[in-house]
Amino acid sequence: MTRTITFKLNGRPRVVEVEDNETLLEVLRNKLGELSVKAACYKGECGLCTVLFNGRPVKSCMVLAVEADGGDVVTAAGIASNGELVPVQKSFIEHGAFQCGFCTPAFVVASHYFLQKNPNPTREEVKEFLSGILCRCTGYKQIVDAILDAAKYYRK
Amino acid sequence: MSAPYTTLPEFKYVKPTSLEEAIRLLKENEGNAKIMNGGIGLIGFMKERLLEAELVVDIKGIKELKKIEYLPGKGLLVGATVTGTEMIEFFEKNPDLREKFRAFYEAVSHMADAILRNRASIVGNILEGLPYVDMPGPAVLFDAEVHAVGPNGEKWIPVDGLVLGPAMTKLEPYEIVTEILYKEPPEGSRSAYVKLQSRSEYGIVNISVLVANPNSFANREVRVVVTSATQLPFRARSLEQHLKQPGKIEDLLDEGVEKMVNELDVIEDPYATAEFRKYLIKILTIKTIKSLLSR
Repeated sequence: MTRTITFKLNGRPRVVEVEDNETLLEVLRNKLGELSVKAACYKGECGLCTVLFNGRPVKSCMVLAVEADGGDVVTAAGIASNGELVPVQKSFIEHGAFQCGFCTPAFVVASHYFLQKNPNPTREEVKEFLSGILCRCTGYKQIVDAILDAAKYYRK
Repeated sequence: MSAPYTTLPEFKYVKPTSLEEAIRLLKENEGNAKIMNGGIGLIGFMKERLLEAELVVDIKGIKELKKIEYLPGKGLLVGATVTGTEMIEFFEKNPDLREKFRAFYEAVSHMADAILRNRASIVGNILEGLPYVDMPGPAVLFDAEVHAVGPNGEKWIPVDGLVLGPAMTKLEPYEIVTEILYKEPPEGSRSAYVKLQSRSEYGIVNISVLVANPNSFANREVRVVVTSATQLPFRARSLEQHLKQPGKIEDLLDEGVEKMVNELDVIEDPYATAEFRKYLIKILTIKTIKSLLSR
């Protein structure tokens, strides 16, 4: 069944026609051009399609697009405010926390959320929280370093 | 496009706001409708074309299913749509209950991963019926029962024996589980959950243990549940009986656990051989019981 849904995407209202059997991932990439949301495993394991949905990170391949009707979705492309990168984004650049870069948007969006909730994390807590996102280049050390280093900017 | 694995087959989606409406929809579309909760199980199964449905009934719009309530003397009541994250947040705000239902807290902290836990529900994780998930163990440990409501009334069903296999349960297709009750554990009991996982999030062997009054021979109680290593949750009742014999628990353990392992029909897969799983069950069960005895 085709229906029209309205939701906030990166702060702006969007109206889009979706099928009931389309996932949020498909609609974000194929209909709304949100290419920072990556498609890889399609089954909730790799976490590369992670977005904030109504304030919490979710894997958008396991969410139906119709569920987003009336909701709020934020992607990695939408977390910067007024063109300024958030601290964890700057930290990723400083630490060279990417190799191929394919997993970066997911790690950035999830860690920006995580650091707001827990601005004093241990290394173990960072690893535990991010265990649902995979970096196939296996560049985890720099990613965790970048997040731990950025944490100071999230403390009030 | 309808390629399996990446896309979903066609269906119609509905999100009722009342339990009555949801049950009516399921009854009218009997056999062709599926319940969706967090969606992890359903969307996964449907992408792999293991399940199909003409109608997908999303129960997350039914407000009364989102609740966590402690009923002193009865137990902990958890609504069907409560997610893993919400359960962890509840336990962190209620340290007394976290200790009382410690094995449940430890298991939910290891359920899937932190991002999936924002969607995955406690009840859905049990009803999914997959062997290697985390919620069935503590549910069987605390003698949990689910409340199933259908057009012909309601009933309580023990979690032990509820699941028959992946996506298969004793429930009728038009029944909805509204909540699960984890029963009040014996006074002064302690419990723990141990998960030994492969490099993915999946458990190879999960052990849930509860110990109450270990030094009082008359009131002593030990409970053990094995999950992930067997197709269905296994409550080790013969071991529990064995440990009620005269003598110290420590002295009875080895023989009882050896017998339990021999009774088990253990999974063999690329992550671990059956023999290795049996070895792990043995040492983890003994180690976990001993650690609770010495606390």
